[in-house]
Amino acid sequence: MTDEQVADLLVRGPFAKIDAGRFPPRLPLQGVLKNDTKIRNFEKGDIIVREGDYGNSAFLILHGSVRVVLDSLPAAMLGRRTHEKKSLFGSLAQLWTNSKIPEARSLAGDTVSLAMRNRARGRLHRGGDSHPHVFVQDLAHAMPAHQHVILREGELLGEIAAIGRTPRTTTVLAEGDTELLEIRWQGLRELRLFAPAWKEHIDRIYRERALFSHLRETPVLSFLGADELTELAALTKFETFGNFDWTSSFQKMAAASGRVRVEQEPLIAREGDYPNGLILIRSGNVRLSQIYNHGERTISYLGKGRCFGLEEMLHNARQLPPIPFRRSLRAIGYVDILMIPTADFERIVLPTLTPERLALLGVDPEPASISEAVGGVDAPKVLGPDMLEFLVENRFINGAATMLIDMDRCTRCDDCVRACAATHDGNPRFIRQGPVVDHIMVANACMHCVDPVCMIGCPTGAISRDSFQGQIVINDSTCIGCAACANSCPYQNIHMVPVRDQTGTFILDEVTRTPIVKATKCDLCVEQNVGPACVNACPHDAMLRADMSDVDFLSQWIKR
Amino acid sequence: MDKALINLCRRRARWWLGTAVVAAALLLAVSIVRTALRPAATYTGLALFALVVGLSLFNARKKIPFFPLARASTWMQVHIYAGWLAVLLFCLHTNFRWPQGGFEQLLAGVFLLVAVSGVVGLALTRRLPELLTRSGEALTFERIPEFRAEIRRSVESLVAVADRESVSSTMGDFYLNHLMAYINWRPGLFLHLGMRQRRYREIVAALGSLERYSNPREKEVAAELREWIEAKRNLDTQLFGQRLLKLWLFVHIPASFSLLLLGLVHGLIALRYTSGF
Repeated sequence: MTDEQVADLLVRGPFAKIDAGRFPPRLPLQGVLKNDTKIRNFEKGDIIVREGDYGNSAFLILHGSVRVVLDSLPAAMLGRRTHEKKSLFGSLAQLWTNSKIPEARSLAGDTVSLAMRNRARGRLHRGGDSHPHVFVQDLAHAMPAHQHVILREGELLGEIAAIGRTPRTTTVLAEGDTELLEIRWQGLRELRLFAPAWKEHIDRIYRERALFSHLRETPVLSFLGADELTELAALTKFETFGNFDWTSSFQKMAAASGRVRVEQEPLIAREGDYPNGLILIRSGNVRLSQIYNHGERTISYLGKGRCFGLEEMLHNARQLPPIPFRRSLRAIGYVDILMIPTADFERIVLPTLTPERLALLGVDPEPASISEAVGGVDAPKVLGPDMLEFLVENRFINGAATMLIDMDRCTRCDDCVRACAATHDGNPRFIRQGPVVDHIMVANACMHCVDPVCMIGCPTGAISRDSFQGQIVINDSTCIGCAACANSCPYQNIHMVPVRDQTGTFILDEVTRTPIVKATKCDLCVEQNVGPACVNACPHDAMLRADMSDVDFLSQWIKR
Repeated sequence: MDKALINLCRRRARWWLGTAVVAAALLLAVSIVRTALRPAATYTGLALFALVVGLSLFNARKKIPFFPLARASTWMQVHIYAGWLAVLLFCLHTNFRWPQGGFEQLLAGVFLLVAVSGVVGLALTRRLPELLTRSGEALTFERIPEFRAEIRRSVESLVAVADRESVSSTMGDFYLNHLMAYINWRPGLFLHLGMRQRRYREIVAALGSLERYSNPREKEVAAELREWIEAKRNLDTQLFGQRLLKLWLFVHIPASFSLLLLGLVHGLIALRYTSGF
């Protein structure tokens, strides 16, 4: 943003009303607008945000109007494809249909790559190389049956997904020539902090659209009625910790010692502090740690839907003297938390938590003994300390299908790699290599992350989460080879490969004469009948695609 | 006892129990057939051939990982325990005697080769992975020559720097007289373990003895060389272990196909002369 553009913004509607004096000198409003916003122009039919995408910004309409489609658009219209399981014959046919040429693509008929056309003719996406975007041709006729609302100048969109790091819930298209102000999540956070009207607006939208459903899905609140939940939603506070773009900071800190890395993680709750509320993890992962001699030792990690401080609050509600938090809570990456204040918890939630219900939740209904544990040191109960530190520090806990290999069983036969290649047209989609701790290797395969940072910034929506099965998949046809996903993946699990035609010749971009590249990665055999072929092919049962949030199962598997 | 070990014992006990039940049923069936003066050798031969065909299907299953045919680990367990049943059937078929005819001796020899290589392979796949894991960094087998070249390059560069900076030949002499041979040495197929340890101990001792001739810079280089020697020790172990884990299959699989072929010929001949086929 240029100074002139910022000056122009400051006299317009929403920004003219902001009291710039409330912003600290180190972070002036002009600075926020200059560094964290950008003016984007769209033409009629351009897709601004796409349902299911992860975005890191919100949009303020400066000129024109946009169409918010309230129901789901067909996958093809959004540049995605639906994944259907192969038939038995289709599975078997891979024996003779798999290509002998690496990364071969068909150029015939319907399978002509849309991206290849895009790159070659520059027609189906617009916006130039810096901000390419897909558009829907003939908007009026393309979706007459879809319910929609029109947002106009001065209205904000996409703020909840940007703040809460949740998938976009609707698709938004430009109604005509539209000028939008894209506000990065950092800018949105500062505006929420220092501009009360923005905070009020965002918080209201958040409470209306997201908070109630999250509270309803939280196990410890599952015994509350609708009225109580509504009351609780109005009282709940929410906050974000950590860096939305945690990939870059994670990569920069890779060489730092474990101690330094822990100290860099934002502290959400400190061991020894009085618990002034029940903390619920809405998204992201947190580290539970405890002071151990001169450092901090990781005790466990928590993900979405888990809560922190429940035992302490149960104890304090029933017995004196009150006890403080026994552990610290630190944000790993980006974390979105909710906090139910102690008084509200005791008044609304506590009466519903009978000993039987607490037992159902796996919580000790008589937590008297925990007062004795305060000041003591808990050993990590489930996974060993080395394993826990390894998984947390390398952020492998982000995985919903992390590829783990038990190296005490693995005979290095590569049957897994061959099976992967056989199910992906002759091209393996992972590398049987990676860091090892104890006897467990975390192999170089897409982990299908809970927080898929690779999905942020894909200009064509080619990388998406399968709406039915949940895998992160890439639509080869709409991938334009920009490598945004590969660069974002903190684990280097997405590979850019040059593609060839059926004769083995590299397919070249007609303009630049350079090979066209595509992003490739493990798709967890989304179209196969057998699930992940790698796991099924291991004769020694040495491989697991692990949901890292299930610590108990993970521990059982490691110790089996 | 460790819970994991208990689980493992339970799993194995279930498989062994199932195998024992089938074995008992086989013994009973053969006993009944013999008592009834039926041609037991024909029946056991046919059953054995069918079992060997079934066992060899495991390899075919690996070629079609996309087809829903149960997990390979289940196939592996069935393969192991059915393999033991095949040995029992072979003994029943030959009536626990070594055959007399030349062709039959060849067939029995190939069967023994398949069975023994299978047992050896099983032992290797149970023992070697742990050895490789404890040895150090997991190396990809195909890239071992590349790693060896990297070690050689790094060591030569270190030694050259040490000699140049220290104006001394201590490290250069050590490289020429000991280290070069150690880095170029490749472990043999079977006499590896003892040799590997001996060579490793010798080179470490020789490096340690340089301490009295070294200045501080050379001592630093010696510490770095020690790390490269450790990397070479791991490389030798990985090469030895991974090679064995692949090589036994080069015996087991071709022998299995030979067995199938010879068994088919034997069966056809036997049927021709016993039942007029």
